[in-house]
Amino acid sequence: MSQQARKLELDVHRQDGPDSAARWQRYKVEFTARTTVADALDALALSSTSAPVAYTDGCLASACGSCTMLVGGRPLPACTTLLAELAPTRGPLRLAPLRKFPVVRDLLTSRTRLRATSARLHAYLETPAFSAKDEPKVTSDSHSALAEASALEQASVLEQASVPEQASVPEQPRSAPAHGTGATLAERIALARCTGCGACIEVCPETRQHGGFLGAAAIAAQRLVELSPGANAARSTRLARLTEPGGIHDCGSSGACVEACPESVPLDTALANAHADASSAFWRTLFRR
Amino acid sequence: MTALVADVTVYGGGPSALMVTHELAARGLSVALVGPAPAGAWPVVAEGGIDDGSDPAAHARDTLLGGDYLAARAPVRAMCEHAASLWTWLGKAGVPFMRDEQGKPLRRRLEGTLSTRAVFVEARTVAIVTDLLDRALAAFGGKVTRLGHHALTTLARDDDGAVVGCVVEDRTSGDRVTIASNAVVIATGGIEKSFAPSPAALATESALAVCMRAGAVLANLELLQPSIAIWRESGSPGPRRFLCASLRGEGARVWLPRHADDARPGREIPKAERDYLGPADGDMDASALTDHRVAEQLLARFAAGGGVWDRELRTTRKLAFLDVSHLPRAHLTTRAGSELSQIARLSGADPFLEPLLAMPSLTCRLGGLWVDHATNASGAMLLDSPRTHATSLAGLYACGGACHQYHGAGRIGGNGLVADLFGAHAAAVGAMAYRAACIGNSRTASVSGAMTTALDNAVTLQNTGSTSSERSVPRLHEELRATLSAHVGLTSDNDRGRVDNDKLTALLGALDLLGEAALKAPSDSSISSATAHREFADCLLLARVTAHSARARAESRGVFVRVDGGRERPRDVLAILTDGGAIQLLDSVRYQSAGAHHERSASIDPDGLDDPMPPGNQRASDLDAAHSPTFDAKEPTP
Ligand SMILES: Cc1cc2nc3c(=O)[nH]c(=O)nc-3n(C[C@H](O)[C@H](O)[C@H](O)COP(=O)(O)OP(=O)(O)OC[C@H]3O[C@@H](n4cnc5c(N)ncnc54)[C@H](O)[C@@H]3O)c2cc1C
Ligand code: SF4
Ligand code: FES
Repeated sequence: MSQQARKLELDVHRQDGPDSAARWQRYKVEFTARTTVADALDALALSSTSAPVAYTDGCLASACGSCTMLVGGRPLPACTTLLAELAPTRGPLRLAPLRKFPVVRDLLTSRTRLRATSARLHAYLETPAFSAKDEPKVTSDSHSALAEASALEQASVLEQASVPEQASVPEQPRSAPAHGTGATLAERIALARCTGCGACIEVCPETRQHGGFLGAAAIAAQRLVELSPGANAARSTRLARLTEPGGIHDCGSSGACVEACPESVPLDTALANAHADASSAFWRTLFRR
Repeated sequence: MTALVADVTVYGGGPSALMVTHELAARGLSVALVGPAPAGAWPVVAEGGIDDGSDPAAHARDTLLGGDYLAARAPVRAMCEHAASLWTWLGKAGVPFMRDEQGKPLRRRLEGTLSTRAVFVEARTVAIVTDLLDRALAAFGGKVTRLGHHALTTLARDDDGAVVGCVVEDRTSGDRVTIASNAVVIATGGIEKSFAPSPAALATESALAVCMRAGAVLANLELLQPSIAIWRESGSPGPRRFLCASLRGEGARVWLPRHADDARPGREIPKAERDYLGPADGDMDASALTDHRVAEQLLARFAAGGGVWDRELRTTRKLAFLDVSHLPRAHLTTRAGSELSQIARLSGADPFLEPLLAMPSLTCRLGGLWVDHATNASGAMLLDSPRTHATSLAGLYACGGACHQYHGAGRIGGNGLVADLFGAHAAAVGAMAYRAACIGNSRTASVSGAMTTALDNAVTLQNTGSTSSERSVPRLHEELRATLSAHVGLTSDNDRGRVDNDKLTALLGALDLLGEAALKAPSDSSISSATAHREFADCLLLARVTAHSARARAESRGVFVRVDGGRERPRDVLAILTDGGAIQLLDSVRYQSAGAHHERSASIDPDGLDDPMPPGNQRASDLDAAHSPTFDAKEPTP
């Protein structure tokens, strides 16, 4: 690996506010084999006395999704993208904000859209308040066994506690998640890796700044819920939302999201399952008529 | 200007803030949640896992010992009693804790715990919990109003001094929003810009500084906990690092070459020529806070001439090896695979073959807003009392990393999230009890008066300087970070700020100079100029409190190592701002809330002090040997 610092030109998208005009500003940076995009931006912020480029970072470990931007046209996490892997041999490297999310300033975009889309697909479990008082008191010896037993019984407990179904869909869930082990658990863990970075939405040909397909992340979030113990509640609501405009019928199956996801979230399986669910729901409606 | 009304305002965006909001909304209250969007925060990498609560007695013992007797007993016991329910609750909330084929949860042993109790999801437990809680709030619809990109500017207080709302400001446009509510909960976390590894971090200090200016008491700001982190060089100021609680929990070893001038790559150094730090079997140590002690040992070795360098990048910083190459590959891949591949890509080394470079680094500030607790006749924590998680300002509550509760002078592994979520639940219940107690005497007129005053008080530090100054606000933050690290924290070149009075006096002098420089600094227009300057002032205020608190703690206690001090009876260091802007230390907190007066001494409450640790605790003497020769195993009996 090279230990020498190389030089690179960056063209950075500058924009003072959501409605301001944008311009490109050119910077020169030095980088080594281990310099990330975030490193370069931070070094710029410290070396110049003019306004630093706005972007946000948090975890610096590709776990929170807050630093995604377009690096050379690709949506990537600035914190873990190495300049050495992307630096063009000629011409400057462009840093721009995601296009399908509203710009707050410079490279900083608002990602509340992801929250809204997963809410729209009802991609959440209705979790009751944590009740410290009602839990049975157990002694330390029996505690572990009890806790595990109760964790395994979650599904049935939650079924009783959860909100009633809004409509009745008397079919089996598409997997048997009660024990949360094996392949189902592995898929849940893989789905839970989604950091909300927005890359899948950015590259999708069917998503728009407003309207269009809700995007793969929300579909994956819905599948995560579907596979969770206790997911039977509100299942029909989720299915109904899935088939509404913006839902799975608007997915064009380009596969771009699968390629773009930096966390290898199994979006292909999630989308395929959503398509299958939607079409079986369609046939069911036909039969009932 | 927008005006909002909510039953409770919650400030923050991490697990604590989301949990308080969840708990309040699930009980029918309306909540304004003010925090950043996207919600990313540095502690989201927290990756070791959480205590499963399977052994409440051992859990409580480990917690109290890890905290070096500084944590109040009743809240710790209550937390440990509820940890198992909490874990079950998280499972119900959809967290996919890892399990083996039989469905038995996988566990790892984390620093400072005597048994293997931490359950986890790869190396992302906290990130996943945060994300699921975030989405779960959608269930409450319009009950929860979220304001992203906003910063707390002032608290609104009525004629009796009770907090009745706050003024927040859009960090980019500077637009203000007033929020009237019966209570405000601060849950902005314990990692701060002054210690964070990136200049793009939010100033967490702000919320605490705003509360302090309004009169709130801060506790134990001098307690800063180090841990071992994987090193990654960058062109930027703060070293970027991967904290590796998960790898340590899987059995990673920390070592140095025996010969200081050994220039061979780590893999070529034979076992016999390695100086292993910490316990011999590679397991987490059976005594309190292993990583803190390993960090201390490392710094001592560095000072004596030991240490390795990052030769490839020819840095002058001394490092150590963090080694997982002796562990079975398949085992590691299942349990921390995604973290390891990330590390491999960014460091350019294969962790399965090559010892990685690591260094001591700060993970958290243990102190924060002082919060109270209530106990019943038998000394157990009483949750639904207005005193639960109450700060010294009526109507102001705090939890999670932003408050001083649960960890005392050292946080054991797997306890961060347990304390945050249990504390968030408690703060929600406490704030509701407070609200119920005051709801009868609602005084709308005085609320609007309080709001007007709060808006008037939303003063901003005036930027008087010329734009030709050499030191921009980001630059000043970086200088503050370096100054603080050198004096009370850890510096990346490993000159441990072992605290003594001379150092602290020097630190206070340096902070004054930075304050003067800030007045001349050009604005940072990436956020509104006023916001940038105020946030720097906030960081500076907290740095000053840290220095004063460090001076006041004349002893070594937990993670705080004082070279010129002895050993005292455990007490909190309590700081308050006088009207004249001076920092004053208190012997006790006196406050009034929901019509009642309360007082709590800085000395750790006698509750449970004469009730020794449960039998089987053999570790006080270990701690003794490692820490201070004057340690008396029977202490803290007064
Ligand atoms: C490296 C590391 C490893 C850890 N490992 C573990 C572990 O294995 N297990 C465990 O249980 N715990 C662990 N912890 C601890 C755990 O991460 C913290 O206890 C937890 O994140 C604290 O949650 P919080 O919500 O109180 O604060 P945080 O998670 O810090 O969240 C604070 C939130 O408030 C927002 N905020 C702060 N200031 C402002 C402001 N001025 N304006 C607007 N918003 C603001 C932040 O953006 C953030 O969203 C670890 C921590 C670290 C750093
Ligand atoms: S699914 Fe992948 S690409 Fe989409 S938001 Fe999540 S992590 Fe990013
Ligand atoms: S900072 Fe969290 S993903 Fe980049």
